Amino acid sequence: MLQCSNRPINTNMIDIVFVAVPYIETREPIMSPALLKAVVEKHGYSSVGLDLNIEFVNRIEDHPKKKDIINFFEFAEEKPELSDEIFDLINFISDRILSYNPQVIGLSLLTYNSQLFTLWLLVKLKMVAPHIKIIIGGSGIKDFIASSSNAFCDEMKSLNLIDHYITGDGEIAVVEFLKGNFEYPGINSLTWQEIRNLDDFPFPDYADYDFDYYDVQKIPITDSRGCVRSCKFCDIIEHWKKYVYRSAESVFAEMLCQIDRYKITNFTMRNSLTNGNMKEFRKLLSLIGEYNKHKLYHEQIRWQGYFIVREKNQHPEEIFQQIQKSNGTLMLGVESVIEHVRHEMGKKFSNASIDYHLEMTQKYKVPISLLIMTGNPTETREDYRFTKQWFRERYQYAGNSVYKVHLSISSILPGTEWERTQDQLNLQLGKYPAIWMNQDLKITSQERVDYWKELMEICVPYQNETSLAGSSKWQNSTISVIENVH
Amino acid sequence: MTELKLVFKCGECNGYMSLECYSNDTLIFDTEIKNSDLTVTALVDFPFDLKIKVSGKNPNTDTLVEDGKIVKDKYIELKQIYLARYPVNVSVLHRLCQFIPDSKPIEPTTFFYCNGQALLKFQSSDALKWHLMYNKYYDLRQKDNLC
Repeated sequence: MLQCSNRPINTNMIDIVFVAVPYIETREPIMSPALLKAVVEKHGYSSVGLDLNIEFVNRIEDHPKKKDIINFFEFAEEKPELSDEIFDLINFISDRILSYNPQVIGLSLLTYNSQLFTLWLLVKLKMVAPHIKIIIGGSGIKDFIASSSNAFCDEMKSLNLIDHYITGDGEIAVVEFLKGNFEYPGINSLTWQEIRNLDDFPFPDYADYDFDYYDVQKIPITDSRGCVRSCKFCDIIEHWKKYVYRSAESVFAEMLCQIDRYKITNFTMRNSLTNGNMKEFRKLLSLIGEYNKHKLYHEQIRWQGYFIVREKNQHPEEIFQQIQKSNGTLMLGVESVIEHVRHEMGKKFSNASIDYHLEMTQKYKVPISLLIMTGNPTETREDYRFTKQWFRERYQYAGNSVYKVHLSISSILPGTEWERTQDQLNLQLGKYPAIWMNQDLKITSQERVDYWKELMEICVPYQNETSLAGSSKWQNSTISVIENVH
Repeated sequence: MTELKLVFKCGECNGYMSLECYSNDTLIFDTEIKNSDLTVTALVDFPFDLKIKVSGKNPNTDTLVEDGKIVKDKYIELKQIYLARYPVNVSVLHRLCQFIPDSKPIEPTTFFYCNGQALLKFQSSDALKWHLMYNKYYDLRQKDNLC
């Protein structure tokens, strides 16, 4: 069956094992191995899909040096004193993969935080099984998704630690790779072809996952890729240039299929927005609502997804009612509570619309979290004061519909419109995306960090218990980068 | 067995020096050098001591000096070591490589300018373990740290 290897076919072998590589800061399932397994099996290849991130996360959960181990993999902190622990962890993951006797190993890197683990895993795999072909892919093979640099893949290839890599959507490319067609766009190349019809692919197959490993049993679903908006800070729209979506029927069919297979009714949408195509979105809400109507509460479907704010006439009250009936949880992409800042970044909705969404979600008891970027390029000190007051004035929503406010420090990401228009915005960029200064406003990165900290304090009433620490490790590392530079 | 790759740069002056490499006193490589770039690969068992013997240089005739400057020299320089395909960081390599010139005191250098032998100790049970313990990892986002 497999044509990419010259070795004779051993029927006891698995054609390809797909692996989600640690370290990703999540206790939720990672979808790519399950999706790619389903895709290649449809074409007749034998496959295993493993989320080894969760096994790694569970393995270090109670480790006394957990933080050091994570820092080693996430931030490349040197830890010779941890070499035994790190060695054992890499061996564990390597053994798990090799136990399936694969002809090809496909390593999926969700974020760049997996690069260091991948490096040492590759060293190990090529030591003990040099005959096995290794291919890597996923958005984490690049430092930033829209970056034009391919440094990690180039380096791994030059060291002969990988045989091939796939950039961009992998569903078609990985099948072409297994067929031996290395010329397909995206294979060993930065130029790739976006998938146009997401309904063409089989539903992810989580047969090799153990859902007991996860804190909350949730199944990820991709209902769309790309975005309908053109926000200037966003690198997702630079990666997926065209918004593509699945039909509501297809998404709902996947939900029913996964409920049937795994008895899990909780779904998390892996997308940039759930309400990109309003027609399909409302249809999906109806389908779920109708399903839920006939079920006991614990048997009902529930879901969470990103959600863009629109004007009131585009999001009539019935939608919030439908979201309530479908047990939806929304991550609301507000980004800034300053209208001129939002308009300048390409988000053209009014502050009245934000308030309308807060009122509606409160009225219909739809849990939401607010996604806010702090200290944007055109944001003034006066805007900082306004933002702080805005949050103080809306404490009635804290813990009552708004269960979290995600505050992230604004960065100028490679490949984005902000980066392209840096001269127009009079931005002076530093070595890292979080280091920049608007030469007109003269607000330093350190000042923005101080502002972020202040806002974190103000937003404490909004944060539920688990987010009281206030920020992800990524955010902490951004802050430490800024503070070190200053 | 672990793949060991050594990359040398060789200076020519009345021919090249000779090179022999030993793993725990077992000869793993010897050659007559024919050009300035030399890469050798061998399989080794961990732990091991790598010994690199260089010979064939006549100090009186194999270094050409003009106006106080060396214009041509017979030498061998160890540029890089790869263990299990991964490079040993240059700064680590420089600390690791102890050169023992014939009839001169030991010096930590990878530049073998006279006859002698270099000793590099790789005392771990496994190449990966050695990397984790002793090698300097490079931040993949900061390529200047890579050798």
